[in-house]
Amino acid sequence: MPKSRKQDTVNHLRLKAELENLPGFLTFVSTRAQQLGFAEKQLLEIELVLEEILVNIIKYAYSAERTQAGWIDLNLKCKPDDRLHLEIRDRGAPFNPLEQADPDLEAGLMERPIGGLGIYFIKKLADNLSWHRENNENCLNITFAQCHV
Amino acid sequence: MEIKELKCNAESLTAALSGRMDALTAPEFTDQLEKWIAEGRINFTIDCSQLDYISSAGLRALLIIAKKVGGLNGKLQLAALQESVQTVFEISGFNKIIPLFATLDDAEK
Repeated sequence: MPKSRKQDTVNHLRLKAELENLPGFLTFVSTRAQQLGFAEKQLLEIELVLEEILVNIIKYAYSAERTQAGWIDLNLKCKPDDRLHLEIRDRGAPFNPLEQADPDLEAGLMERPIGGLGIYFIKKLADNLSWHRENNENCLNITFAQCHV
Repeated sequence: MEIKELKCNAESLTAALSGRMDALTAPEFTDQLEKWIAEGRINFTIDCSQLDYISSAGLRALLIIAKKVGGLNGKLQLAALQESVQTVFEISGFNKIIPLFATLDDAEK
């Protein structure tokens, strides 16, 4: 059960790094974002960023030890503001998405490489993004601010 | 996600895509389109008015098919994108490599 205390509580979800768990993570975060008052358009952007991060972990983080999928830990940090703060941890190979080169967005259809867009979406749509390595874990912190138009 | 054939003649096929095109569902699109290509269709128009969400996995599936039909002198074009899906196309620059139309009628002119 989520804690009802308003300040600096953390809600935590740990699931196996498997594609079938994607909807579980998305619902967990969307529910919180809706409670905070994020508008529909932004909810879709949040889901997009989250999907891209999780799929990247599911596909690559544990690929060296594929016999057993590792875990993904998602922490929702509830701070006394109307921002959405996420922390995503995995115990896979060190990987900093912020260091990845952007894809060539000008390439024509036949020259366009297949792939590389997911990380670009993460960098483009999150309001704040930071990565560090801690206790053999990749730790990605993401913040979304509400845009009041 | 659901993909439904609307009409088909000779080398052209129009279909409607609905729901979410994400890492879980995008392979269904690729599989269905590859089936149609194997049946001799090379020009595809996709009505996206009921498509609520697309991620990079969805774009990847579209790119694979667009390249494939491009190589066969065919084309893949999309119509009636919702605003949030249109935004994803613009951020990725896909609006410059896949023809987009405001309505299905415009696409079929």
